[in-house]
Amino acid sequence: MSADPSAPRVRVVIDANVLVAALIRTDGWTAQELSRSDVEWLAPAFLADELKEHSTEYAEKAGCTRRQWARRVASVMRHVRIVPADEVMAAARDARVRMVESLDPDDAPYVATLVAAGAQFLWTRDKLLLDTLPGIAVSVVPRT
Amino acid sequence: MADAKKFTFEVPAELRQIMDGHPEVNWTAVFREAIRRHAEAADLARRIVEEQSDPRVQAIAASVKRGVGKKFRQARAK
Repeated sequence: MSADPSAPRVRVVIDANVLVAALIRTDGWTAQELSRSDVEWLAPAFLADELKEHSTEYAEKAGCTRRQWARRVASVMRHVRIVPADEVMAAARDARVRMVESLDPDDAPYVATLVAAGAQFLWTRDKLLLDTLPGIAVSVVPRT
Repeated sequence: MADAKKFTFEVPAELRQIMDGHPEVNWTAVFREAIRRHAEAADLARRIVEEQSDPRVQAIAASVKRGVGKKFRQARAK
């Protein structure tokens, strides 16, 4: 069943784990999910910057060339709206960001992006996030 | 239904008694729907585990997560 194109899209932030799964398993379930038209996928600018800055290292770990890696990143990122760093940082003092940061500082950017973009969900496989933000952090994005 | 496979279920007598009290319910459809939901959920879980257990996904995701966290903290410190 295809989504109603006039219906408002649900906004969902993706974390590093989800994005990397789509980059490595290009025909996998995660990559397929990212092509859903009923969702606006979001990621912090820091995530896009990190993938670009360390492309040599990540391409090597992925077992592909730097050019192939760049192509994969471009292909996945065309489904994802980048939330600018200044907007993410403007949300950094939010109570939810602080709370998550006290448990795992590396999870804070995704929660700040969620707050900054007014997103409904954070798609993650991080157990700590799933336990800490029930109903917001999800391992499967609900269908609208 | 093309290529349908027939399954036979045993249900406890007390459950059968309740079911028999509701002839308006299409129990075959209920079973089919319940099995479909469980089969799809199990299949999805398998696909997620398969992706997550890929050592390349684990290694790169851990590095990216650390790198993104570092950039966030550096931006905050500015």
